[in-house]
Amino acid sequence: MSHWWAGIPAAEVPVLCGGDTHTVRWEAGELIPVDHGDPEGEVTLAAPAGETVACLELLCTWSRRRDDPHVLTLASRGPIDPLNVDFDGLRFDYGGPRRQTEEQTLRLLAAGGRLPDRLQATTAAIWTRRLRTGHAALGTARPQLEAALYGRVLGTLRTWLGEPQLPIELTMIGPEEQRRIVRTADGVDVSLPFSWLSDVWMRGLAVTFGRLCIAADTTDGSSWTLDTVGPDLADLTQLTIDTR
Amino acid sequence: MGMSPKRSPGRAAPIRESNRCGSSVTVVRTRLRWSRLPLGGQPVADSSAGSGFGGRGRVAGETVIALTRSRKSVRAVWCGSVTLGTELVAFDAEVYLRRLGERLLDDPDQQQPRHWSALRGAAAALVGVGAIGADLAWRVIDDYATATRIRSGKPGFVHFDAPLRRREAASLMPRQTRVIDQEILVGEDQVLVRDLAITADGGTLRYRRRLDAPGSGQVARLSRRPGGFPWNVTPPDIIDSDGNRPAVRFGSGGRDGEGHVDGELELSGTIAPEAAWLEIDGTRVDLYRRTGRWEVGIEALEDRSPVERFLWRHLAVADLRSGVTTDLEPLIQALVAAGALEEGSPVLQDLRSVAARMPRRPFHQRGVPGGSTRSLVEPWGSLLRRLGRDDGPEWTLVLGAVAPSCDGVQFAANSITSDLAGFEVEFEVAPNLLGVGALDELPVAWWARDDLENHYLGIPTGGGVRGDSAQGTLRYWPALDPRAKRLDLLMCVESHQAVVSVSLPESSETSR
Repeated sequence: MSHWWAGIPAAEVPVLCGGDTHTVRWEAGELIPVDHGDPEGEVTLAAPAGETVACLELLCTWSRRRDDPHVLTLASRGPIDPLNVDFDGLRFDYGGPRRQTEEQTLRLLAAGGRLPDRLQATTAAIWTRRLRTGHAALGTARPQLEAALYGRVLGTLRTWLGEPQLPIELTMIGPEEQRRIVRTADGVDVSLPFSWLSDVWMRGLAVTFGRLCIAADTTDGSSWTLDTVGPDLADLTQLTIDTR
Repeated sequence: MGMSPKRSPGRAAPIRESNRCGSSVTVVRTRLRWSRLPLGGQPVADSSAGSGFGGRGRVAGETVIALTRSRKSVRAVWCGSVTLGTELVAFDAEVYLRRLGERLLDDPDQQQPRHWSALRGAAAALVGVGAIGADLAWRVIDDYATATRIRSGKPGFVHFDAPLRRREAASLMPRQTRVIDQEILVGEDQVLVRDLAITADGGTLRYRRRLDAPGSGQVARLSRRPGGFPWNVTPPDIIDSDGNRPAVRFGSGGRDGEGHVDGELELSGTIAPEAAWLEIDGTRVDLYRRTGRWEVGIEALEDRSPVERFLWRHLAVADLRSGVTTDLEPLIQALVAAGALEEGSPVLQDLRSVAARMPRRPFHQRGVPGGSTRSLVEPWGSLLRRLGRDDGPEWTLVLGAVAPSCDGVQFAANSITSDLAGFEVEFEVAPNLLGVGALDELPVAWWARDDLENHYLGIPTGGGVRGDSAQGTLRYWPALDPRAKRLDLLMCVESHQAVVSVSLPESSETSR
């Protein structure tokens, strides 16, 4: 059993912090303030003076928002769907806590580099786990999770098959249920679990060697077994990739 | 037909693949093993079948691939037939709307800003049948409005609070309207003083400034006072024939028309109901009683199911912003998906027959697409029968008719102006309906009918807010039948409609 972040490369973002340009790095599922050796101590020191440490603020915002399924609604659906956030030009029609949480989410999505992609990978991994183990917020989150899966399957299939208007019917199944992809008279019917996002899509494996990957598995994070179908959806082929 | 390697394992050149999350992945020493899984012929009985087997099938033109995943391994399964059974899944309106939002994100051509989200019609339909609450439906609309905004690179609002439900508003003031219809010189401008509506605590004086040349409207708009006011900075002094001198200020009403700008002056204070004239900055204008004859009333709307009423109403109400006829299909599809409407039902056939013949932009359409309208249900058949005609009479009729309150909404018709292609009604409505309505309220439709059984549809084309009411102009299509002797203006609200029934002038009686 590998970690959910296996196969997802590290990512860094520069942060203007205390007059210097610092680096915040995402690696192995964690956000690390590279230039701060004792983050907790620095926060304690800065708090009485009312100062903020930009790198640590970013970490704090990250930890607050990383399990918000709304991240998946807003984040990119892939290379063909780039975000273009004019953060300073954005206005909010309401105040209070909702504005605060939304500003935090948008700030992370506007952070640049690959951090927004790592954020949604983290969110997807958290909800993959919660779907398996159960969680109090699942009832309200599930529609957003289903939509997150649907949107990414939609974009992937339409682009891959070169059919921009292709109707896609998706059934979000449990992780142990049969995965299906069927060409019908109207379009394509797909049955995939939410974990496809973490296992396949977030790792950039959705289309590999021109084939759609419907499942990816690794035991050591280096050797990958991909179950793939070709564009005619008629041949299931297993690929093994060894990255060592 | 067992395992059949397509490519033998071996060393390959390093491969640089673009990672979905953006970073590049260098695959050093890649070994590829392409393998085809063994084929099997047995169908899988249902989707939960646990004993997987490899294979593929092609039945009834459909190829099915299924993959069973266990905790320990991944087993690919070909289903020999599509006999996986029909899975009955409870309809989840939020999921439905969010999936629609995803499709809109994937298709930028369909994205619309702010409250005019393309999700709105489907959301209103699902709210209307109780499949989802208005607040949650709005949250979905708002989520995808934000998602759209942060892809645009444009500044502006990323969120919008839900439109408010109609508020209770004070009743519209009864009024006596006096025709003036006289041109006066204001500075270098000729201004047509149109009429005066006298209420208990003041009045509204309406005027029209004709623009010198086509195209000068833009300049006029940039330089004029609110409402196209031609009097420099200070409102004029006004005195009536009884010596009353009301306070005068610029009104919020008025609009730009073809070759003219309309405006209003708000008068506060006593104006004699029997006044014979006004003096405007010393220029006298006479007040006449030559207004149209009218009656007002309330009628119950035809008894329909809520779903039918919802769909017919939305077909009658064009998009406020663009004037484009509502596309019913997203609404119909939502209702069918929710099980509130049966695909193939007679009402759906009627709706689609009418919708197919409705002009996308009623003011710019000539002739009915799709031929005869005889098979269409009323009032749609008679509405579309005269589409594209340009034989309307040309006159203006001053009214000042205030209808009774109807389902909490009240309207006043100040005047009707008929031209070759249609007619306009200058109106007031309380509460203000000219903004975006709440998801759980039926939009108000503005129908009209004449004594020859023709029907007409009105679309608000501009206006402004006055306290908790609004005033503006309704443009009706098609052209008024020149033979008509009576016209009923109908404001359709929830279960009733308010009626202002107007006796139409003979052509020789026309004013202005």
